[in-house]
Amino acid sequence: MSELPKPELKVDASGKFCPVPIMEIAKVARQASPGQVIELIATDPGVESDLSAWCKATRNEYLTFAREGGTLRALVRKR
Amino acid sequence: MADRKVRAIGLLSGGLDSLLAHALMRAQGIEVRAINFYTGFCILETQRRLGRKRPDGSTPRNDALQAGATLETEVELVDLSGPDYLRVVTHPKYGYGANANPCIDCRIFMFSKAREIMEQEGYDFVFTGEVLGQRPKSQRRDPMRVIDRDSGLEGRLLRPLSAKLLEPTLPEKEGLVDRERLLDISGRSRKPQMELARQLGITEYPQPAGGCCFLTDETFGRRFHDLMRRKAERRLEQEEVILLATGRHFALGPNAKLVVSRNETENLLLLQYTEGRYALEAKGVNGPIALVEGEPDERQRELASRIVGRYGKGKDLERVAIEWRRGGESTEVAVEPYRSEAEFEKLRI
Repeated sequence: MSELPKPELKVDASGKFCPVPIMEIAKVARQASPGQVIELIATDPGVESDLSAWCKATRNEYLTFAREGGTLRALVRKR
Repeated sequence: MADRKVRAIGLLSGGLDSLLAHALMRAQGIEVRAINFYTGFCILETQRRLGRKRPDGSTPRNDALQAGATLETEVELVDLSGPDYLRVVTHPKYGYGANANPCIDCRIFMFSKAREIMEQEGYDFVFTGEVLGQRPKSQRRDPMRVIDRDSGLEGRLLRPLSAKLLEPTLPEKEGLVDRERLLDISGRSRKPQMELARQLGITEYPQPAGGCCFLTDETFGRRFHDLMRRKAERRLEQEEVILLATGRHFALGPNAKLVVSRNETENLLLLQYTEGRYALEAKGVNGPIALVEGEPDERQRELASRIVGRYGKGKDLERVAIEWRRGGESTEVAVEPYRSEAEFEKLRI
């Protein structure tokens, strides 16, 4: 399995709930360059489905998603 | 038709109607920018905050983002929450619907924002998935005219699903949109929309669930109007919105109110809002966290304590000590918990 890329940008939306985490990563993604990897940290339990839908809509690449306790970490590559 | 690219802003709630409106506009070759407005009164946000699940055990989904995935179009989430929107809620020019929903004023506010974006960024018009006659407050002919006028979008607001029942808009007159390819749907039935979805190959869309706005919720509306009566100044703060959506609410009197959590998640939430309020908790037995707003007198302190005792593990004990904390000070009130909810039901807000 190939190693995951190191994120160049980070969005910490812990303690914020739908739709705020997606608003925050969208804002960062708009400023990012194509190919840059963004890490999203969130505690909203529904952020996984939100992020999946947002990536499909924006065609950004949804690289990985992991749960560590109540914290969710995801990596997205800007298209 | 126009010999240039036509560009429109589409307001996307994520419901079937807005999905169809987007699909119809794109079928005419129109470049669509999908926008979803966040007001801070979203039921979904509170459900997520409180860890609530759908009947099938899954976490409630954001319909607008799912619609974006279905349409393969980015949905721009625009934040309208804040003092300006809260003022619309507390001071609606056109009044409230059945609950705390100032639907006409809310639409005017949202559509004004859409107009600003349209004007600043050179879009040709704004469209929505509204259907004539679908909603009693804002989707009738006369309120629609008011909304068009007051938002400054008169002539530039297109409703593709009902367009043939309405006066032609400027984009139709200018040949930017083919009126013949617009529809004449009206009323509350969703059958025409479901048939259209089938024709367009749209298979994933949410079932109508009574809206996702707290302002249309009966309990929230009752609590909101109660809060407005209690306040010297008709103002609403963001944290009050969260508290209105949380726990059980009881009127201890005109100047004091009790909010009792219903579970561990609400306990943690209420503990974030203790500043300026009393925090109540049973001593020695498990039970809910509760907040008291205002300055209760002795009788009201006993009342609140008995209610808090009722919802804890000590409800069958002869007496329970309820701790009252505020600003670093702590006192105790020992009471007999109410034996049934019926005894204080009349206080429920």
